[in-house]
Amino acid sequence: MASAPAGAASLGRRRPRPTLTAGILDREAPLGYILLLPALVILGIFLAYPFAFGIWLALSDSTIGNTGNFIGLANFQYLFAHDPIFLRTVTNTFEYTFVTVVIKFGLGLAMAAVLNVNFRFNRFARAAMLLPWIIPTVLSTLAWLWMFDSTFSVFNWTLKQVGIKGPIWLGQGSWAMASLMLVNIWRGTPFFGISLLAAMQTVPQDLYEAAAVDGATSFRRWLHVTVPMIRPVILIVTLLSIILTFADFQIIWILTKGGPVNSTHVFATYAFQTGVQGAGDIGIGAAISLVMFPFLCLVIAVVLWLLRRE
Amino acid sequence: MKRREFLKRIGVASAALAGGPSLIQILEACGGGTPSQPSSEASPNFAGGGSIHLLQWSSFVPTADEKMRELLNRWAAKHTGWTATLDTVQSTDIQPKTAAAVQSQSGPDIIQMQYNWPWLYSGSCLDVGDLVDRLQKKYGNFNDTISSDCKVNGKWLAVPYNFTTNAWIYRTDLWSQVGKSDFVDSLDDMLTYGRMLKQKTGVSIGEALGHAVGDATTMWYGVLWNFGGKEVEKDGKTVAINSKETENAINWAIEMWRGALDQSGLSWDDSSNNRAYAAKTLSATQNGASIYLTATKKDPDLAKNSGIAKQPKGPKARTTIHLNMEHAVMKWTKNPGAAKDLIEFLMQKENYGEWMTAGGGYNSYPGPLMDNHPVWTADPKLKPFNDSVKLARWPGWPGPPSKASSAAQTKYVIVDMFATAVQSGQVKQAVSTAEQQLNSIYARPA
Repeated sequence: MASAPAGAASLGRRRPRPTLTAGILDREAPLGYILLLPALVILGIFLAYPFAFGIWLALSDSTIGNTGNFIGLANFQYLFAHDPIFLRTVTNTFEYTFVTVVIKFGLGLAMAAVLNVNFRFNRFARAAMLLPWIIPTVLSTLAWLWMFDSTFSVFNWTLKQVGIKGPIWLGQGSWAMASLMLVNIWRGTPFFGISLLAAMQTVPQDLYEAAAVDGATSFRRWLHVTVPMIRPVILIVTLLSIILTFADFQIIWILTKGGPVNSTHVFATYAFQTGVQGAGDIGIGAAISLVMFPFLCLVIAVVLWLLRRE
Repeated sequence: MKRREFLKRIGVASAALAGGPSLIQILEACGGGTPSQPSSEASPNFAGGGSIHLLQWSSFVPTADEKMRELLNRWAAKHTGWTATLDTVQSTDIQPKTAAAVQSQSGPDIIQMQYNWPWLYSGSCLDVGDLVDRLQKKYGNFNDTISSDCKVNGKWLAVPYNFTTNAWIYRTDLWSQVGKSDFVDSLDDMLTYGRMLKQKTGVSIGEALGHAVGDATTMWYGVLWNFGGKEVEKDGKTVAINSKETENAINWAIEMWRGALDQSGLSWDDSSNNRAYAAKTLSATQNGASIYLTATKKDPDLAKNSGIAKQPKGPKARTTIHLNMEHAVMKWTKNPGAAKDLIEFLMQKENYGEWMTAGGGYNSYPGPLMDNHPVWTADPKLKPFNDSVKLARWPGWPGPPSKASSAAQTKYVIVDMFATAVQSGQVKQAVSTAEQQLNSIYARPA
């Protein structure tokens, strides 16, 4: 009888017992946690640690260079009870966010509806619409600063040509806030437009055909097919826009630095002015920033709840 | 490579990283400089070489920065193995940069501070009393205002460096039309003749009345003081803005606003009046020498038709705020002795004089030492910039420099009081709002 093949011999041998490390790596759950670990470490360093440190600062009397002591909610009490500029800041922030998000949404939806139709130079129009969103905010806002300049304003020059004296755009409270809103809307509308356009293009064509067969007009097709189908995207985009607008800094700091007479301060600019500039009350600055947190949490919770209902 | 092998390797790499720089070290590195280290030496020790980093603002007269770099190189050449580097940032960025360095306890060895910053960052500045004593012994005492900003609770925490003073630059061709070719010497005259000039020529006086860090503060604190008003008493605690004198100052501002000032000043930043004067849309404005120096190069006719005058007096005083700067040696420097030596080198009369010449009259020595420097005699028009050093006060005067006075300045309480009143005409309401804000600021623990 011929000798047994080598393979058969090896089959007869006992399989080696896996090492502890190999055993862990072969199991799904521990492996999952190990793979997650680098992301958790990064999130811990760059998100959790600064956030926790921010909470500590808000509850302390820290100033720049001095760690300070725990003082509970005294910073918040000071802000709400004794700081009139802060109360103005709260009003400004809500006004700025509400007005701009509503207008950006309306214009963005209109922009998406137009760009969703096939026409000549459609692709070029789509690319052009994105420009305000692509240009670095600092650069585009500096250009706006020139356009609002009291001496060299292109707007006022144009108005002057038709015999109208233009306003001091950034020097009078309501005009200054309106100017900031205009810049924010100009910059933020393409974000809504392009996101909603992407959503519209995923709506199955047969739904429109079915609605048309049932005699629905274009407007009713848009209202009863398009809008319900893109609702999840609307919610997410609105949520992101609220968060970004609420925490806006660059546009306001470059154009008005919170002036005139604090009529354009929002949380981010006032927190920076209080926490970093001047006396460097970083504890109060952190408290101002943290005031945004409960409101944004509430908005996120509502949007997520609405999304789950979908 | 099999999955298991790959994961093992990743594990080894992670362990190696974990043994590397700690979180604290990474965060310190974010501060942008050398890691913190307790200072260990007070006298210069140049053995073995080293480096000094000096943080300053980017001067509005670039030739001054070029000269500063040349001086640093000259200092380094004297000490084998040493380098000295000048890092410059925009004027509005120097405080955030300083705050980041102080918070992380790392960064430049020497920081050019402004106003009363040594009071704000006192825990991070080394005592430089020995150096100040040497300089004062050699060159005479420093100006009182800048000394008040540098001397914190009896300890010199910074070395006075310079004043970038403001003065009034005005169009002689316009002001001569109302018989004031030498400008005006009182705030009352400024109102009378400014109004007259605007009616006659349509050209206004211009001054920032918005959130402009330098110009607005310089103008409106001065007006308040010159009418006898003040934000706080000498004790630095009792808010004193609500007074007849403050109301008088505001009433003057309202009249100026209605009849003589360019109303777009409400939206101006620190560069707006420079541009407007260069565009010949203003009859006068208060500014550093940069407007005039730029005109001498770019528009000689405008420079020729421009005069310069020091601040007009009010019924009670002739004062103003000037931007003053000081050099602080930071606690984390490895080379405190060398840092002090470098500052001493820069403050030597001949070196300082070279730097002043390069600035063309933009910088003034913080004392009488350089009152007769050629930069003031070569173009006598510039002399008011140096003369007005003596008029300088600090934000919060007559109270001591403090965190509260700094907070009031940064929050533009005084500037906004004037801005509110000129728009609404409601003097008492504007004063009351400012008082409320100042009470809230000065009530906080020091």
